[in-house]
Amino acid sequence: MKRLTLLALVAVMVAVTVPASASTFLAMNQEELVAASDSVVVGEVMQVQSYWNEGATAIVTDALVRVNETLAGNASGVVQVRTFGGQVGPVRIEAHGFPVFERGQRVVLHLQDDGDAARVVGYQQGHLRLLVRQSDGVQVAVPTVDSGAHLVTRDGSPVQPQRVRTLDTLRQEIRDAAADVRHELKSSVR
Amino acid sequence: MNKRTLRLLALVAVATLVASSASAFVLLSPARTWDCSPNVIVDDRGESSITDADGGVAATVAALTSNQAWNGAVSGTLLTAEAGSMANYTLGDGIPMLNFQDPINACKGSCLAATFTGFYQERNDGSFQIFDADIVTNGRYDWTTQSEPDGCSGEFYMEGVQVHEVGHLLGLGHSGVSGATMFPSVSSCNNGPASTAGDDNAGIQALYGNSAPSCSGNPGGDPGGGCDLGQSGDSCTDNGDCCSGNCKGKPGSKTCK
Repeated sequence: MKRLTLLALVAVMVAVTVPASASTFLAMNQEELVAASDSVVVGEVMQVQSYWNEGATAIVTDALVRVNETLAGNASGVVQVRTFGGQVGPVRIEAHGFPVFERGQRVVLHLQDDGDAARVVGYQQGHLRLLVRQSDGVQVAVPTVDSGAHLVTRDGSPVQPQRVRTLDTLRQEIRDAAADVRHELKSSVR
Repeated sequence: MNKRTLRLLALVAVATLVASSASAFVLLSPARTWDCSPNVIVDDRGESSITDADGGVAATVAALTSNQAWNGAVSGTLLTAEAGSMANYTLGDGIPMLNFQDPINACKGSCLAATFTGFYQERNDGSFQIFDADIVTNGRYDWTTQSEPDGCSGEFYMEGVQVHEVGHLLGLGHSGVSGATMFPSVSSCNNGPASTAGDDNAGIQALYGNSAPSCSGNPGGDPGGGCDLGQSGDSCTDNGDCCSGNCKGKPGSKTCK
């Protein structure tokens, strides 16, 4: 009975999952993400607001992110992060594959300064969600890349999907990558 | 929940899974279609890194309208395309445009091209009608076409990427079938996505049936293009009334900021 219940639940969950869809992005590995970032932070989304841009040609969304820890670069305090798409009143612009923020979300963000706000390097590839693993209470970083991102590689190699890892592991990967690129020019994939 | 109900639920769910795995295409959610075959306006300026005769304009138009692509999925003409000006490029204006540049600064860095959907409305029968979808391209990358005389070296094929993007414009999501145009990954110098696969065609047929819409032409007009909400200083009652998304003031005398 228990097995049947589980089977039914899993099957229903899979059956009703409807992936979103997409834009095309260059695939970036962890080293490339760090190399292209001005800073990498662990933080919490405090506020999200969508609005029409100047000229009213598109809807953008700003998230205010409180920086709890800086893994690379110098970002601190509260950073304003801008992404494309969102909803204002009845009008919604879908920007598949672009980062989506929710208030209260705990995140790791690879950020690049872009005028009066930062943007996420690599789009969803540079945006990881932090969750607490129920089995042991350890914080894990979960990729947000969904089926809305159409990824391409420069060299013909298969796209390696990002994996879930503990925050400690990710933290070390980012610091190692930052040390490697500290004295180098920013990557050409910025 | 009793055992019989659970069995039934499991059977229905498994049947749904089997049915959905027969074809791996995915439709945008909610499912949506054009009423008339859209005419995609392709940026007549061309793309600056493409060294064929016209910066890839003719090659892109040809790829989009080829019977090897979406027009081969159904009988009739599912979409047309022609070169045209981007001077009035506006999201949601009822005129689908493929821009070789990015006038709205949405597609920077690692973004190569982006399709903006979301412009659809409910029909009387509860289904959804697309009235616009627009594409931007990141000009900082090296692009090529099959018409370039010097072949491909570390470049991205404009035809393949844009046939994929137009799949979204028509209402398709990504497919799990490797080799399909709507498969979510590809490498440089691979123009395979310019030709649709059986799974792509099945997705189009799921949306449109076996025949293209019997009319052609774009909705046009301004069914939601740009922001028609309150400008700065206009009265409002909540944030959704303002282009800025910011309605402030005392109750009864709020204005858009």
